[in-house]
Amino acid sequence: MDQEMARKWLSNTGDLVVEHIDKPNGRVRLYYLSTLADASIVYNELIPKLRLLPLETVGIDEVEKQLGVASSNRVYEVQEAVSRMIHNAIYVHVEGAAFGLAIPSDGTVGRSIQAPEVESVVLGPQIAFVEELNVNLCIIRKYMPTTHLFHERLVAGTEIPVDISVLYLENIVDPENVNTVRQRIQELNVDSHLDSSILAQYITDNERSLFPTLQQTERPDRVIHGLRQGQVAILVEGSPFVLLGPTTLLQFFQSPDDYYLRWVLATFNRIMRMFAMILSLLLTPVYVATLTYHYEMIPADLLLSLAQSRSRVPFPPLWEALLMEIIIELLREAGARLPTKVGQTIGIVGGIVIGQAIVQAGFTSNILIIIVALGALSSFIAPSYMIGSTIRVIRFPMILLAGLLGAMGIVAGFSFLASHLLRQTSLGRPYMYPLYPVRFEDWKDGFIRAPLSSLWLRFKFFNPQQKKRFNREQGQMKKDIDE
Amino acid sequence: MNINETIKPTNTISAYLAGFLVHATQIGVGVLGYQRIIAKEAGHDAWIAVVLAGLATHLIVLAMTHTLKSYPNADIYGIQVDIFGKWLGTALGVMYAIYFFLSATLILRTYVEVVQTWMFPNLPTWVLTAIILFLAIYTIMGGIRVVAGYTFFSVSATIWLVCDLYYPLQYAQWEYLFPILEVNAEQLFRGMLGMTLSSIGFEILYVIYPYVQNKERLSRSVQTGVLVTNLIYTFVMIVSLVFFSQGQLMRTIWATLNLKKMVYFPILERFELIAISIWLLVILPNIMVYIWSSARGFKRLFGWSLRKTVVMILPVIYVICLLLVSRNQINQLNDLYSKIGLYAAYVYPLVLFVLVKWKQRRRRIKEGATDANVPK
Repeated sequence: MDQEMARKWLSNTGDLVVEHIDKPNGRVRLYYLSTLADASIVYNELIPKLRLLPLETVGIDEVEKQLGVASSNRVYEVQEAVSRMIHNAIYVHVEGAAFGLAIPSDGTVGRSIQAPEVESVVLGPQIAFVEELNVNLCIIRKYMPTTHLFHERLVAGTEIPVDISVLYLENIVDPENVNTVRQRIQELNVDSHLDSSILAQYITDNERSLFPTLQQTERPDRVIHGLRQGQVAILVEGSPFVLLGPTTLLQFFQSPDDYYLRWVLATFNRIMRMFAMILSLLLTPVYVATLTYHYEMIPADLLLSLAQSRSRVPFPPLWEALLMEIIIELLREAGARLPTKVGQTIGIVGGIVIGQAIVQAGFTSNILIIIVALGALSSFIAPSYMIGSTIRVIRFPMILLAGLLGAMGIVAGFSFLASHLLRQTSLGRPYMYPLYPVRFEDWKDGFIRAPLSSLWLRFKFFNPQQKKRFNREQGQMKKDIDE
Repeated sequence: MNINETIKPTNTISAYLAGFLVHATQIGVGVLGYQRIIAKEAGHDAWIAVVLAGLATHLIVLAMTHTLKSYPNADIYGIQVDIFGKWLGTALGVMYAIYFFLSATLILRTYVEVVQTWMFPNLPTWVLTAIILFLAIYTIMGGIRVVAGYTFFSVSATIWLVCDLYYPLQYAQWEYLFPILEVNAEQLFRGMLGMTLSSIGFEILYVIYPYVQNKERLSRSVQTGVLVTNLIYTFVMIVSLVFFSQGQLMRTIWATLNLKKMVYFPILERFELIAISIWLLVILPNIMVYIWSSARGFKRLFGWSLRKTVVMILPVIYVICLLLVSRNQINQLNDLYSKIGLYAAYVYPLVLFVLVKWKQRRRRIKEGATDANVPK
């Protein structure tokens, strides 16, 4: 490969650097991309070593011996050499030789490891994944020192290949799940993709559904917990979020916190989350339905205060509720886009100023403000950002249905939701497990979080090869009171 | 057409779900107002008629499971062809499929009638019918597993509605029940006949049978489902009898809904409105299972695809629902349906049971005879 060829293959890039080392009977060229490769290796190690080469023979064998690189670094084709170079390598070429050497180097820029921000917990490890695939793999390897951890490298993207790593514990995972993941990634026929969130949408079971069917986490402890249960983890270069599958709807309401807290607290939190989700879905629609159609259902005293609160409001309940819900969504979206400091100001402006003013202006009732705020707050309780967003969106059709058909509409909405969820699968496995198909033994780590000693079986949903995590008798060893 | 069918394991359902399906299909709109019909015949002993009708149901279901067990994996459409031959079997199969289809239509229309009477007098029939049919088709398109799952959810989500009978029980007049057994046998029997409309639904067992995984547990689970239905009917009947006087009961069309009016919470009155809305969850499995069973019939008999058949059935149901305008028409059709149901679900299974056993015996004798004739 000569200079022109290299330039041509690399689309005439400006950061291609070529170092010449000319000896009387042989010429050595070093090609590397100055933006990617570590230049200090070139100037502190490679060039001094090459200058020490004896004068009489400069062949590729001598260069290889002198540099002391492994034979796996041999490169025979130009295409291969170029692809190594765009993965940080330094390419050493000896004129007239059959192959060249691609010497790997680190040198890419990356963020340092930080504490998780999207999924923060109070107790437990405060470490999050970063954008670099190798660092993420290193984190998992470090906190999971087992030889059973199997790591499969895949590449997806026809135009710009992106490295993907599939991780699982080969003595626990159900091979069928791995096959599904591998097949879906390999059959992917897109030019390129950026992030694990996008990959998740490509390989998900039902792209049209609102509900996420692959878990997405930035917490290594969550990934490790999933791997130990028999899940498959998918890591993507350039994404700090790891995908975990298969998964169930219930798992989106579980937080790693649940295992760090004692079981009663964890159970309490889990039940509260479910309650919050139902509240978030139901509160505003119920308000709309009762005030539009079924005010006879409200006892007289309560109806009086409701009527007083609504006496100045010129809109029907449906419009009133939609107005408030949209304002809340505007505030949320604005808060997510603005820089942190301004975001807080917007929160105060939105929450207090608009909230106060809108009631005084007679646009909505006080009670609706309470209801909408409660509903929005509840939707943020979800430990997974994705499911929280889903629930916020579902609220709107629910409110519309409540406005059209009252209580009937709410029930119809819930009915549709139930059918829809029942039809979903995650990597081909039922999404509503363990609710349907009913497996009571898995409720122990579903709705509730039973004491750790009673969680001696792995989650059956993942169909693990080893069903038991530990021996039950040892886990629940008890002494009699007189011993 | 194959008399027995092999079902893909990914399409099968567990035996306990068959119990849920049978129970859910039995409980429908009938439970909202069956008290008057039975009390009209059996007076304050109506609950005895309910119990007896329940026992009869258990017996019929037993006969049905035994009929089905005579075949490895057949449904009613296959069995009829086996017993009656191709032409008569197919004709009977079509009749059964139409019967299922009629059930779905009537349940849907009666429910819409209840909603219009109690909640939304001005709601046009076509709106609610369309919504319910959409929900039904969306679930059916997921396959029998999704239908079974939906049924499971709906039963779990609505069974607690029985508890609200605690409120009317506070005003119970237990002496209304006495003297016990004042009626004669004929009145009791006519009361039992009045239960037909409410307790049919178990005949879908004939269609779901090939889909059940562990068939050895089927009988127990289906009988449990029927038992739960019977307990609910008996309980509701007794509560109605002690709450209403006979005169009141005769004038009350939807007695169960009137009972729910007694429920009172500090933040909630008029509980029956919520109950009627939630009742959508109760009647949807009925409609889904019946439509599915009907479409299965056409698939089995003529080989049409299930998906297309469901899509073809729905507009017909929709149109029939719109054609039924007055309360009177619905009532008449319900009476007719009750009579058809009596023969289709109570009498015919017994006949079929006898025929299947007789044919099997004859076959066995024939085979035994041929075995003996084979020269050694």
